[in-house]
Amino acid sequence: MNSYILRFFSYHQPRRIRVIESLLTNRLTVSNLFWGQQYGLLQWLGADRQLQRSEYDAVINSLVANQLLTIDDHHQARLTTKGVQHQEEEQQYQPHFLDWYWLANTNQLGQRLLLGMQVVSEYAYHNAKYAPVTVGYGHMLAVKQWFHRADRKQLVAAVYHDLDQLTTGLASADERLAAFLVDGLVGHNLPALTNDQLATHLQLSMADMLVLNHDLLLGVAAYCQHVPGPLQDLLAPLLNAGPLSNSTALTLNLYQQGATLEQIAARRRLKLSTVREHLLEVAILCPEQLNWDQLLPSAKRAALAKQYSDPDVTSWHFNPAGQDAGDAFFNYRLFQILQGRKNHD
Amino acid sequence: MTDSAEMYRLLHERFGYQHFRDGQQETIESLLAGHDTLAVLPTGAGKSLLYQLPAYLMPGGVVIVSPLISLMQDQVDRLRQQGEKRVVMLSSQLQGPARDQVLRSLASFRFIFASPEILTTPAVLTALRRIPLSMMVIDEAHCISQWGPDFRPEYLLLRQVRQYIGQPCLLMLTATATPRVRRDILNKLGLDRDHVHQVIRSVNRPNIFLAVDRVTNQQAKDERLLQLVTNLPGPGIIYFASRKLATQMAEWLREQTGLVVAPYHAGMSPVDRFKIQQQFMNNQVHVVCATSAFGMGIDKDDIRYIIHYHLPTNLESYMQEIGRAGRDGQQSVAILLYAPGDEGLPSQLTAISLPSVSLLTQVKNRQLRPEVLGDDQELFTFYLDHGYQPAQIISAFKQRRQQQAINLQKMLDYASLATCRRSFLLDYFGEEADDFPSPCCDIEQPEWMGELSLPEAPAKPKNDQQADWHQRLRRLFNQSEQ
Repeated sequence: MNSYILRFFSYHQPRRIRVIESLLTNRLTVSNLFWGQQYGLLQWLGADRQLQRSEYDAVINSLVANQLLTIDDHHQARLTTKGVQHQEEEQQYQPHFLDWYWLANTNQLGQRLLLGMQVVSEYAYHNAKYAPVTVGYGHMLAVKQWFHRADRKQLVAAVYHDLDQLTTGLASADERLAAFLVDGLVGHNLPALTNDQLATHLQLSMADMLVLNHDLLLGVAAYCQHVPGPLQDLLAPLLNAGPLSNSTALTLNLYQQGATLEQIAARRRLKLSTVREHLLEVAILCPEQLNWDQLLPSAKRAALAKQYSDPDVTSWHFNPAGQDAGDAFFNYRLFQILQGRKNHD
Repeated sequence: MTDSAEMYRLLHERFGYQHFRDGQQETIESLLAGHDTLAVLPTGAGKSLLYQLPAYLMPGGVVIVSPLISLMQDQVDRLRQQGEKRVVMLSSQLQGPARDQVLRSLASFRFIFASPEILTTPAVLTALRRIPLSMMVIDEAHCISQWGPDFRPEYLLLRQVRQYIGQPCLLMLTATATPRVRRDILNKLGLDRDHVHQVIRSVNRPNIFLAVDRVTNQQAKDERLLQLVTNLPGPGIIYFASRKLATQMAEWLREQTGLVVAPYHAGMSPVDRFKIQQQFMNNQVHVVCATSAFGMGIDKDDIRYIIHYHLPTNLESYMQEIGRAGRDGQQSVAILLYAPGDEGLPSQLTAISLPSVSLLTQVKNRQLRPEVLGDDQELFTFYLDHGYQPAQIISAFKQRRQQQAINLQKMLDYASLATCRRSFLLDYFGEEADDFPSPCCDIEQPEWMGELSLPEAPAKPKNDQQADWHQRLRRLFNQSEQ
């Protein structure tokens, strides 16, 4: 049984199982993000994008059957005492690079890195006849272009140097990261270990292996963002500029220039409700980007504080005074996010 | 240069062989002369050469239709391994801008692999129609026949596809086809028997010893498996009916024997499968626990044993799977393990619940949604969408179910023979059964375990995994010690 999923549940706080699934697979709705923040799990966004619904449900069922998890009528789950114990035994690995959760889709990054390094390894041995590792066609095209653009005379030495520096950095955080990266790379006449084999080899539980693999690739992404070199050239096209989606970033930009929500909606030909969702996304993921005094002036805040006084924001129920055209819910949600963050900090 | 001289030059230089294997030259010459050709050659006879070599002597591209993505991927990998860059695979995995780009530049590829589903999409058909094509290859052609064990309804559309893309010369490939299946293949493709050149060779693989181990129960089966894996020299493949069991047994065998045993099945990621294949090729993995019907395409020619932990669904699959052993011509062995009750398993897997004619008619008339047809709705809607009548579909499926029962019975017959297993197999495939020289099978040689002289297992390579990451990194990029 794979206990990876246990990590995302708590003994004290009931958590919605569908929210956890959406966070791991990076399905970003304001609601998922809000709950993700309340659970303190935003850093795990997109940590397991390959996860299938059937697989997730099977794991949840087996955790319940093994009495590690209980589920209530609202599809919320909690760890049992046995679950807490199990989690402590199985989950030893502490991730280092989760702050960079937004930087890359680690699944894609891993594929491109694997093929790129194989191509250079074969080239280092002057071999042009080999089967490339099975990755998507887009990666094959990208690696091909990268390889053609590169200065071939320098390439092997430069990649070696770059990777050596990266691995040294990873090893200083945790030796296992270095081994996991290098033993997993496919090379010329040099078979690589699968993630399962690496886990056995490094005596990691399956749960820890999944976390370490994701963490490692976030570390690689962070390195590539900062250090110029062939790895950066290879992987930079896969790096995101920030945690916000492109569309949300455009909305934010207009908002910061002083446009009202209505003006943004008109200029971007979006529904007003979409613009509101964009700003809520910013409020959760990049709150420092917003002028909160302007967005939610103190008079509004005071009024909301009277109506919603429970310090536990997850217990609130939206209850508008009159007809709501969306604005009241927007303010309510903003206030909930603001208060929720205070509690969380 | 004559065609023949040119053929030999390519054989040596591009493919690295000195001689054609039996059936290869005849097939290639037939294709180069422009004849539609059906080639039935045993596994391990080098079927991919049959279209790869003439592709270099033909002006246009070659379209290869293959039923499984994994099989196509293997072919693509092999071509790339030979240094061929003009190869592409069209499957549902290729999507978005990458797919558009491929379709726009389709004329630049020599080898175009496609799944039957993709081949029938309008965008792909239009793109194919625009480019010159010299040959269409139907791999695993027995999938066309409803009498064949892996019947795929999408294959029925290939006749129209071929017409639409300009009627290129046709090569049909299969390793296992009874005379009845061969006739059905030609019928379904609308070919006249007199105008198709058929190249047929014996499916017999004399260097593969045939044995069946009948055990009393599951526990005895595990013990027997352990005994075999411990005593037989590797490398070996063990086939299971489920992914879960393949994974579990790999772990159990690893613990029990200390050998490196790895699972290999369609549930694993493509990258993991690639890595296991590479380890197996390099003799770092001794035993692979695989699922049936899932090909391991990269040629490893020194596989010494194939064990079936479960009954395959039919003799065709069995021949295909044991055919992976002993491609180097050295003595090898195929063992089928059988415990009472095993026959329940494959029949469960192949059972399709048939809807009633009236239900199917209502779906056809859009009075009901296809979901009412259950798990196999896609199969039934395929036939409805292609103009088949409900009664016709039901009767075809009933016939097919009967056929499956017959196939399974044949498998059971094989497992309980008191006479030569090889004669039985060859008779099934429509060949003259003969007296075969020893070693042949466990019927004439029940004590084969001690008597059969199998070559020694290849030496294990130096264990790179012992190296620290600094050393491995230097090896990856050919850097000398500093």
